[in-house]
Amino acid sequence: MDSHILIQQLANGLVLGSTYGLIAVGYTMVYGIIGMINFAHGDIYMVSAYLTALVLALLGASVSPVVALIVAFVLVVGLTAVFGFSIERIAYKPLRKSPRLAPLISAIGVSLILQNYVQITQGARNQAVPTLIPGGLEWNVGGGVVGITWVQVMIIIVSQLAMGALTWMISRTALGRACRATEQDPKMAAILGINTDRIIAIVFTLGAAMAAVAGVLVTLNYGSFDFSIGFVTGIKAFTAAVLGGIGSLPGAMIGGLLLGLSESLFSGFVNSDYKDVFAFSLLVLVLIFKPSGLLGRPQVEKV
Amino acid sequence: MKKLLKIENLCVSFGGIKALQGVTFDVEEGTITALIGPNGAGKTTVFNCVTGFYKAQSGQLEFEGKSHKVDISKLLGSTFHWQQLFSPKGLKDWLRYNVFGGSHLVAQSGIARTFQNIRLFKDMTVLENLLVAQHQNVSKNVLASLFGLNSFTTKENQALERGLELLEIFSLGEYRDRLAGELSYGMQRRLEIARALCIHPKLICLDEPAAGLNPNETADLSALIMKIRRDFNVTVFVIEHDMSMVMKISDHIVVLDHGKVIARGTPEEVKSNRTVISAYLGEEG
Repeated sequence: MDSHILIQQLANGLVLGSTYGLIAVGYTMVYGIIGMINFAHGDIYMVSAYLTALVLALLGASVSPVVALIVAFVLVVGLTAVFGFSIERIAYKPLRKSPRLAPLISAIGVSLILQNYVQITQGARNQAVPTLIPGGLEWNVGGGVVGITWVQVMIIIVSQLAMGALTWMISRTALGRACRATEQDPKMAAILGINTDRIIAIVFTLGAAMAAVAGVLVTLNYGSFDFSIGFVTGIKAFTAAVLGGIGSLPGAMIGGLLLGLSESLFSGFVNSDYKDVFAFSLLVLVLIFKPSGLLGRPQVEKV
Repeated sequence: MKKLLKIENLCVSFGGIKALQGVTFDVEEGTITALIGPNGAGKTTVFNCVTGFYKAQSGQLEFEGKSHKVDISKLLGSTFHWQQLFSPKGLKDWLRYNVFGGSHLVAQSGIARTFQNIRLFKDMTVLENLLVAQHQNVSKNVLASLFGLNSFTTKENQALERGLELLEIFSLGEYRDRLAGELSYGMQRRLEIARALCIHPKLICLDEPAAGLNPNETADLSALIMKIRRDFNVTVFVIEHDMSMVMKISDHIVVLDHGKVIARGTPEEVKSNRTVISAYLGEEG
């Protein structure tokens, strides 16, 4: 085994896993609070990729890359959060009292609408963004070179920061306290005067914002995307959420990293064509031996 | 005395079962009012309507809220009538309560409750359970909490102070950082009452607070209920099966059977009422 390939694939896996983790957070938080799988979440991520390209195109070459990066982050995360909020109000809130399947179908509808809307307005071709931050680090390890670009370094750092901020918010602030209460017993939270509809909307907004952080980072890293990227990435992130234990915040991040690492290692040492097969086989194995996921707790029926 | 809660002609049915058939009574301010009756009489259903847990099909529920008089059913949002199109106020109210309405408004107007089967947030600490109940009073601004702004810290500290004060009163002070789910049954019951008091209610509804408690604990609880009425200036509305406790603490008793009020009055009046004896209390000796 070549040590430089191992290190390279570990680095790649870390980068890939961080983005899975960021998107998985949206799935896991929404599932935790209303028990629904938000199938439109992957497409929200896709929308944020397009928004990134739009913002960067509007800014053009007139500003320095660092300024462009900051402006893109603020605008894209903000706009995508608005998307998340509006989708919840339009497609899910009216179905709050319906059977569980209804919002699920509504989510699939939103997913189709977003994909087709973007396809019609932006075209079906691959879109590309210019490289904003070139270069990276390189080391000579063993008989080869291990390289990691600055953008990849940024992905790892920014995603850890975003996760840290979210964890702090959920565990330390009054808003986070209300989120946890609503997650445990929404009806009781309402009886105590918490506007649970607002809390649920905030959770959707936060999930969308985290997906947007991933969207900006991945777009800068790969430089190209199309209207259908939301599907595969969404399914992978969902897998990560289930792997880590759906409903658990640290579980989403760990599941994401685990999935990213195992995918990279598999494609580096075994076969890159079958990496998706491997990722989903991993999911099947986890579901067989630990159905609640790595950090999840078994569902207790509410009385 | 001033009427805090006026219930008029309340009707609720679940499918074909008529749980409440025209229930009418008042709860006067500053009293301890007990609601008693056999199992299945509809006591908890009355509570559920009063606290906005679900909506009555018909009838009036008027509550002298903290700031103004409120109609509890209206807060939960109503079905649309075409006549509302012609009255701007009706339309405005309908929109307002259907879009922003919900159980949380009932709590915000000053009604708190506990449940027969304890519903604490079991994965949160004892103190957090009390803080989360004060959510409407603390600052929700994440940025303010991030930078430790004055407005946030003062309000958060006030909430903390009230929480700690209540923990002392309910002798739970040493358990503040334990998970609520780890507490013993009796402590969980007390914590639930403390949490209800955190929302600064005018009316506190206790659903079988003495269920599962031993005689000593029940006596302590009676004293505690008297104490919170006095110290926190709240009206207590309680469902209870323990007759010795009910007779000891209540000023006013309402007896419910098969969804109807069969008697109301002071403990002495109710104790000697023939209908109540045959329906619920049973003959003595």
